[in-house]
Amino acid sequence: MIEQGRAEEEAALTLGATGWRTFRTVTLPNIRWALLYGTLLCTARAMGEFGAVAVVSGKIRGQTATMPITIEMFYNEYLSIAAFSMAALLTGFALLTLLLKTALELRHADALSATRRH
Amino acid sequence: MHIQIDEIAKEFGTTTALHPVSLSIPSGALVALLGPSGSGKTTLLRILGGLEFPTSGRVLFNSQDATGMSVQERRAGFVFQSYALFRHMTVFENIAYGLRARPRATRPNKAEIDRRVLKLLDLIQLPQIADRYPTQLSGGQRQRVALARALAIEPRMLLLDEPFGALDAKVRKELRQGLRDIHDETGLTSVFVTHDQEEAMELADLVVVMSMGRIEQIGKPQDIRTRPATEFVREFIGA
Repeated sequence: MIEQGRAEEEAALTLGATGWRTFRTVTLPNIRWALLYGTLLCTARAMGEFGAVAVVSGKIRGQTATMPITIEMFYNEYLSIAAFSMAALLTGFALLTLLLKTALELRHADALSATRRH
Repeated sequence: MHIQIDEIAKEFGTTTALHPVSLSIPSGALVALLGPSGSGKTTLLRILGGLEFPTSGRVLFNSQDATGMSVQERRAGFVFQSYALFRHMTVFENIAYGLRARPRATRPNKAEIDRRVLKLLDLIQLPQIADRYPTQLSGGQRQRVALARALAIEPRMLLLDEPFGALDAKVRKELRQGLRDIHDETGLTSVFVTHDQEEAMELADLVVVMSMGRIEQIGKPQDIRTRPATEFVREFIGA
């Protein structure tokens, strides 16, 4: 956003747009792909979280356990089938995120690299 | 609209961009702020447009104090140095933006917006590019679209920041005349910033030479050429 500069927002203001309208019609559309990309990476990060959750949250099953923690708990209780199913599911999610991320990078590389296009 | 700048000064932190300057711009004039980079000319233009606020001093529009007036209230048509067109909107949407942004009570209806945008495209002599995106335009076309977008709000004055800065020499000459024609047609008080003395001398009714945040001389182009007031002016215009 810093690289994109304030010129477009300032242009909107001089044309009489309010701050909120400027954000909605100029700022947000310009950062939408970068925002989606960030959300995606964040989701991927959250899915795989283990250490911090294990230490801080108290890992209550069904409430504060992430997928990796659930896998560990299943495994420790000798529920191998459940553990491996969950692991497969997690792998599936990981691949899906990776796929989405690559697709985004291919289609909107210019918007993500935050370089000005004109 | 008559613009009066009364002892305007501007500081950014510890650096002084403008020492107190005063300037009177008669209604309907085409004025050039001429100076090297860092002379404070762009800061002065942005203060007029309401994008910056002065540290001290007043701005008067038609003798009414406008110093604290918001950028939206000023209704100044502003053309930015790199044009700042909305890159995700078509040319049509760019020009219509200011009309669509109006509060419901004063917003023209759809047919009226269409009509006005097409009229402006005619005025800038680019009637066929309504559906293109800014990236698909040449530099000269972008500049004219930026001008049309600024004119769409029926501005009270026109402010242009280095309007020809990003263009090659040939296009620059053509568009210079284009700006003069549009100014004469609309009769708007216009102020443009430039570091090109030839451009200022050829185009403006009144030239304001600036250096280091101070006004060195205010005068008609020929007066500045024949009677430079200071050594700086003499050197800068190469007289």
